[in-house]
Amino acid sequence: MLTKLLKYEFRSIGRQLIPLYLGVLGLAVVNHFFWFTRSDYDIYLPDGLGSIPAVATMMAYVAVMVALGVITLLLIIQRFYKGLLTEEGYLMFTLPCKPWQLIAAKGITASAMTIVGSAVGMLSIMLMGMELSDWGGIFQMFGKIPWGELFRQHALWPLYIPEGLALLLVGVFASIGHIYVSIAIGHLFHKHRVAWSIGAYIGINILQSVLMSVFFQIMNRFDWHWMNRLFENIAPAWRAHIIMLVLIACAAIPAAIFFFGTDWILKNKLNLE
Amino acid sequence: MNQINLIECQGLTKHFLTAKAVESLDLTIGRGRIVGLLGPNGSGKTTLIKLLNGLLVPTSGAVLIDGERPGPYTHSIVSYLPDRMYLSDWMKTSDLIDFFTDFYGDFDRVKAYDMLRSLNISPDDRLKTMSKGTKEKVQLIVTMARQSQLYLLDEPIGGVDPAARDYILNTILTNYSENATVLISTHLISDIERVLDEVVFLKNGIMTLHDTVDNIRETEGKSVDQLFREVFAC
Repeated sequence: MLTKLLKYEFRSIGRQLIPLYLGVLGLAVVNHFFWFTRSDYDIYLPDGLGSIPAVATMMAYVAVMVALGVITLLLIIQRFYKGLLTEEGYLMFTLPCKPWQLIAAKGITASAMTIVGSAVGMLSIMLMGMELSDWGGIFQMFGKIPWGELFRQHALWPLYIPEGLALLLVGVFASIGHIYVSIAIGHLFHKHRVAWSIGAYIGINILQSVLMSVFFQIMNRFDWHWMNRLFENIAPAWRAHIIMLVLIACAAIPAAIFFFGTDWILKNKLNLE
Repeated sequence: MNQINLIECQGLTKHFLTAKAVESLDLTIGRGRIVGLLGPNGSGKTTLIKLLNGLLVPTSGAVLIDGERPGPYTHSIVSYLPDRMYLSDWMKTSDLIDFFTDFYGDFDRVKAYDMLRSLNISPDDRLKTMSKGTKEKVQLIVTMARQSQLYLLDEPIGGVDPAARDYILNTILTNYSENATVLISTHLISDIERVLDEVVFLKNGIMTLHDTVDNIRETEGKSVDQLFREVFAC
């Protein structure tokens, strides 16, 4: 059921975002030819009237980049709020699936939107500022990395890749879960639901900060020398893996609370008046 | 044959802040019936249908469909037509049919395309280009193209012209299986009275009558429409 939900979610956002992604990348290429065609990396701007198309395309690029960020954020909110808690919710909540599947489908799509949108933004900057020869340089750089030496020193270094990806995914999912649970809390009220949602978002932010500072205050009271000694016995390369796993766990805690909190509200307090 | 009542409400209550939308409702409805859920505006008809669909959570009491609380199982056997547009505008009619085919095992896409043809609606038409009446017809088509055990139809004839009403009522009557139950909420009683087996009267969230149409005619000596006008006279 989740796969089917994802299929329709991706189709729905794809028709809105893919043209925007193509627009950002296309304008980046056009700007590259207007602005960055010299190998000395100096910005090249034609004189007089010749500069008008260059300035116009750069302004268009900036506008589309801003639109990409704003539209992605608005879509994340709209796909959840409009798709579940207004009229469209009549259809979604009468499908033979569980609320967590609906939330997961929205969350996975929103995470993909965030990550792909960021990747497109970065790629567009690279396309705009880099010459073809620079791209070759990147691959050459990979070729020069002493892979054999890396494996000899720390055989499990490739684990950093899934660890980094997991941290990114869990972090993005937690941020999206924060938005979802705030909207779900706003939904508990009969009036001014949007205002309550914004209030819930800010309130959760404050609560997170307070809990973090209380947590560190408590931690400061303990003697952590045993931990230092334990850490000293671990090889330096492994310490980084442990820190990565701790970071993933730290990001997973709020992500899980937001996800299950949203699920609990939509399962037990759904109120499509 | 399954002997469990199809719909069972036990002390079902729903309050919105201070408003009592449904109050201590005890209602049992069996299989193979066409039931009119009748009452004036604001009597709790839509709220009751939403409670049966799990779109609202009861303040107290319980609602069971085929012995189960509203959830994935009941959604798989209930076909629901809301009183408003609930479809994504970006979809074409054919997308919508694919969507229903994907999610509901009981959806009959051949029947859906037949109904579209008879109403001159193109599968390639986008919902956002359609008139309100055409969208309502599309919603009715995807609802009635399912071979469900229970159809919950909230004001299916409220927004269409009288000529279309006959078609819609005919569509409802000819597109459900004998063992299925159809619960129709409306205040346009004279239009649907001829097709009803039972009626439920709701007034201010309280059930004031639940009886068969034959019984009402026999004991009261009047039509359901006449009785409704008397009971709900302003």
